[in-house]
Amino acid sequence: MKILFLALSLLALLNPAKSDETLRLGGYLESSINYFDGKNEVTSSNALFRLEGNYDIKNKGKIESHLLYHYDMKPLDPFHTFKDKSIYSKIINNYYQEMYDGLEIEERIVADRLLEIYSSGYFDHLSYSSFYPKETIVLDRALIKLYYDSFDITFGKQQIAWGTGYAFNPTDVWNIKDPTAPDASKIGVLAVNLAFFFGDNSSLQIITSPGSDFDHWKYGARIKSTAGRFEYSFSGIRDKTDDGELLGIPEKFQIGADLTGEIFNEIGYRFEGAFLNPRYHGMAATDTDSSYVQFTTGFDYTFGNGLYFLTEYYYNGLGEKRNSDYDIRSFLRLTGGEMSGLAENYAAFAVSYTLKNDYILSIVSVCNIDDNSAVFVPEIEYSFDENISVKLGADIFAGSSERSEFGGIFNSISLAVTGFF
Amino acid sequence: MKTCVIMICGFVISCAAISVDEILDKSEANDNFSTMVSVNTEEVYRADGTVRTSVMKAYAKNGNEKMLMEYTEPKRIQGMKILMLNDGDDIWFYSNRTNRVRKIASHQKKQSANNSDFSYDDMSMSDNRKDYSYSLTGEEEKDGKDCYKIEFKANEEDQSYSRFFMWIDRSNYLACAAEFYDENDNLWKSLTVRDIKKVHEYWTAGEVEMRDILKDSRTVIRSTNVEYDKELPDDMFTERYLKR
Repeated sequence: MKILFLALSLLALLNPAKSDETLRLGGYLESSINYFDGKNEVTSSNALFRLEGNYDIKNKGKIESHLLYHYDMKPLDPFHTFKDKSIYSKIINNYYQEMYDGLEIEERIVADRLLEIYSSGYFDHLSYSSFYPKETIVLDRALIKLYYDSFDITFGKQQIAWGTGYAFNPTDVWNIKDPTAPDASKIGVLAVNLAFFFGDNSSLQIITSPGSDFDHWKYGARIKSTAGRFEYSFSGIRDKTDDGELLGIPEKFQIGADLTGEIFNEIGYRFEGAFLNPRYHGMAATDTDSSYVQFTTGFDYTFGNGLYFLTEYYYNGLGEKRNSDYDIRSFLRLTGGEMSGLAENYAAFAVSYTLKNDYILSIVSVCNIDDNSAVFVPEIEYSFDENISVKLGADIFAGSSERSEFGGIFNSISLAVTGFF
Repeated sequence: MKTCVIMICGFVISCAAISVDEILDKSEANDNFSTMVSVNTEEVYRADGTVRTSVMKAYAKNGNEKMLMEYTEPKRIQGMKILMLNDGDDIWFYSNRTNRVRKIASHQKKQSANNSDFSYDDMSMSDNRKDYSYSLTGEEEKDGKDCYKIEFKANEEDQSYSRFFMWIDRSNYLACAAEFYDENDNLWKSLTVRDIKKVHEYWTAGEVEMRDILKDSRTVIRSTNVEYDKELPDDMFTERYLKR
C-alpha cells in the first residue's frame, strides 16, 4: 500500500500533465465507532481510506481510479446484529439444522466439536486481536473513458446508477442497495458502457458486464429523455451472473421504466417499476409463470423554512405477505439484491433540515407494512471544517423481536469522522 | 434570484426610464453578453464565528440562459457541478462521488446551495416577473446611491419569499440591494452588491453579500478573473458534460 501511494504521489509530482491534460489526486479518510445494544454490548470500529485519481485528457477521454483501503475491527460472526429468537436467527438456524440432519454420525461429531469451540467465546475476540488480518483493499473504480462526437465509451470498473427511486431502485440490477442508507456510494461494476447522446439531455446506454463465460454476462440497455418538467427512461436487462449461480438465483429478463418530475404545486413525484421474468431450471424463455413486478412511487417537498420531506411506497412482488413465510430463499434473495426487503409492502420516509451553524439533521425510516416493523435512522452531521465532518447516528429498530423483519435486530449508535484531502 | 446572479454577470449602463417594466427591462438588458467565465470565492460566516470557504468556476452563455458552475475547492466538494438551463428553470446537480446527475425539483430550489445563505433559487435566474407581482414604490438612497425601489409580492404561497424589495441604481440600472421576507412577513435575508466595475464593455459586480437575519449568518461571493464573450461550446451545458 505504502509503495503504491508513494508511486502515485511521485507520478503527480514528477510527471506534470500537459496543458490540455490534468491530473488530480484526492480522497478521504473516515474513522468510525459503532456500539450495538445487544446482550454482549458489542462494539466495532473501522477506518476507511479512499484515494481518488483522475487523469483528464481534454476532449478526448479520461482515466480514473479509486482505491479503497478498509481496516475493520468487528465480530467474526456476520449475524451478530440479530437477536437470538429473531426471524433471521430462525431462518439461519433452520438452514443449519437441515444441513446437520443430512450429516453422517462421524461428521456430526466433528460439527458438534466445531460448534463447541465456536460457542466458547474464543471467536468473540479473535477478529479484534492483532493476530487476525483486518485489512482489505478494493479497487472501486478503474476505468478508461473515451469521448467521441456522439457517444462516450467506458471500459473498466465504474459506477452505474439506474432509476429515480430514493430508498428503493427496482430497475437497478447493477447494485445492491440498502434502503436505510439511500445516499451511500455504490461500489463499481466491471463493465463496458456505451452511451449515445441525442439533443441536450437524451441518451441511450448499452452496458455489458462480464462473467465466467458468455452465458454469465449481464446485458442491459436504457434510453433516457425529458418531456416538459419530467425525465423518464425505459430499460431492458438480461441478468444471469455467477453471484446468482452461487445463491441459487435464476437467470431473469427485466423490463423497467422510471419517471421523475413535478405535480400540483411543485411537489416532486417519482416512479420506478420493473417487470421481471425469471427462468428457473427447465423453463423456456417465453414462460411467464414466475414473473413478478416490483415498483416504487413517492413524493417529496421542501417547505419554505428549508425542511425537506420525502415519502415512498415500495411493492415487492417477490416478497412474502406473511412473516411465517420468511425463509432461507427470501434471505438469499435479499442478500443477493433481488429485492430490498423480505415482505411485499413497504413505506419509506426521509426528513432533513439544516439547523443553525450548519448542523444537518436527517432521519430515514423504512417500515414493513406487512409485519408492522420499522427501522429509524436519525443522524446529525456537523461540518467541523471545510474538509472535516463529524456524524453521530443510530439505527433504531421497532417491531416484534421474534416475528418481524426489523424487530429482531439490535439497536446501534455510531460516530464517524471524515476528513477530505 | 436575478439579483444574486449579478456576481457572475455583466451589466450595461442604460439611460433612466420611468415605468417599473422599463426599469426592469433595462436592468435585464445588462445581461446581453454572449458568454462569461469567472472564478468565484464563497465565504460563509456562521453565527458561531467560523468561516467556510469554497471556490467555484462559473460559465454562462447567451446572457444567463445557460449556466454551469463547478466547485474546485474545498476538497470535500471538488468536482461537484450545477447546470442551469432555461434561465434557471431547470437545474441539474452532479456529484462526482456518486457519479450521479439529479434534476433538482422546483421545491428543492428553496434549499441552501452548498450550505451557504444563497438558495438554488437565489443562484438561478428565475423570472421574478412571472412569479411575483411588482410595483415601483418610490425612489430612495441606498448605500449612497440614488435608487428605484421596487416591491415584489408572491403570486402563490409556495414561492421562496412572500415578498421582497429590490433597489436598482438610477445611474446604471444595476440591482444594488434587496431585502427578502419569509411567509410570516419577517425580514429573512438581505442582499448587498459591491465593487461594481467595468470589465470589457460590461459592468460587473465584484462582490455580493447575502445576510440571513434569522440564522445570523452571511455569505460573501467575490468574483475574479472575469472574462466575457469567450468561445464556449454548446455541449458544455449538457448532462453529458457534467459526467466528464
